[in-house]
Amino acid sequence: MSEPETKNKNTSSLIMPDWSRLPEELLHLISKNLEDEDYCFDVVHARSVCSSWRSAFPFPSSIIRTSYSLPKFDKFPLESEGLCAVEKVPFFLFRLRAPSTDAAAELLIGGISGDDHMQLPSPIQCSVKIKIPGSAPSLMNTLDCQILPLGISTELLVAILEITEA
Amino acid sequence: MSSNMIMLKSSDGASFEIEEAAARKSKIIANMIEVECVDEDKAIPLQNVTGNILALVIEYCNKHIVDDDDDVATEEASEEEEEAKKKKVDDWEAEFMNSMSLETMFELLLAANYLNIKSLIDLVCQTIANNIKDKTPEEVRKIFSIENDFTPEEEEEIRKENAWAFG
Repeated sequence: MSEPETKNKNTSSLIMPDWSRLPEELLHLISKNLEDEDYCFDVVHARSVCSSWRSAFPFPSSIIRTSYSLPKFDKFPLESEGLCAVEKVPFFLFRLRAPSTDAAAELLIGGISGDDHMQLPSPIQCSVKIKIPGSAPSLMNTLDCQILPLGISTELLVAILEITEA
Repeated sequence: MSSNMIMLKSSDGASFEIEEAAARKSKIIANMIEVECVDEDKAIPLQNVTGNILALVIEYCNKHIVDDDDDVATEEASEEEEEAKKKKVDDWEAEFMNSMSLETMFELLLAANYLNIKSLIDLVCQTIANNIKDKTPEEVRKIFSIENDFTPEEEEEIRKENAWAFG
């Protein structure tokens, strides 16, 4: 049990410390607590806070899309260069928080796409652009939905996106 | 169990009496006890820790030294008992962290780092990490009073990094 006396002292008029100046090894320890892939988007946000946090929080490897080139064989020339690579695409399940509890939540499955960066409105840090086949791209706030990592899909071509209603 | 008491003195001159076993949670103090033969009448000065933070550190150490003793005394404790005990410690830690402001947490983390108390460093870091989850960078800046010190070029880089597209 903590004594009330110490509690009162804690709330005394301390000046808010400068968190950006926390020693790097301590910032690093804090970032370790967010290493689990469940928090990868939290790390992206933390990296956008200030420059010292940016260097302390490594970019989450779980949302990096990696591409490996495959060896080419002269005897079997390929029509397209792009086909000659294997890509590892991280997939996520997005569960949109329904405005009311009785409404069914919308579920989206999506993979991280390549360098298809688009102009995004502010605050850009929390937005995910989603493109559902057959409709215009739309923006989604990552804080408005529950994001569950589904693992990595290994593909020869670009990621697919499916939509399902719960 | 030895119940030697030692004295600790904070940077602002407050003295605290603490069981040696509890004080040994701090690797720095444990080292001082080993090599310097701490004089029982003389307080160990801790220049980087203020009295109100030291009080919290001591509260934490006292709580955890009891748990460590229990481990030795009840070697045959059943799994259930172990679990119940762990839950009790977890609950205590949650309450302990809940009772303090972020300013205090910051000071406590620096003190734990200075005194080298591994488990307390981990506890505070975990709590701070929990405060970061599910927040926008702007919200995090506000909570922690951090200034956005990025240059326009860096902002642009961040903008790209955050622009996740799916398709």
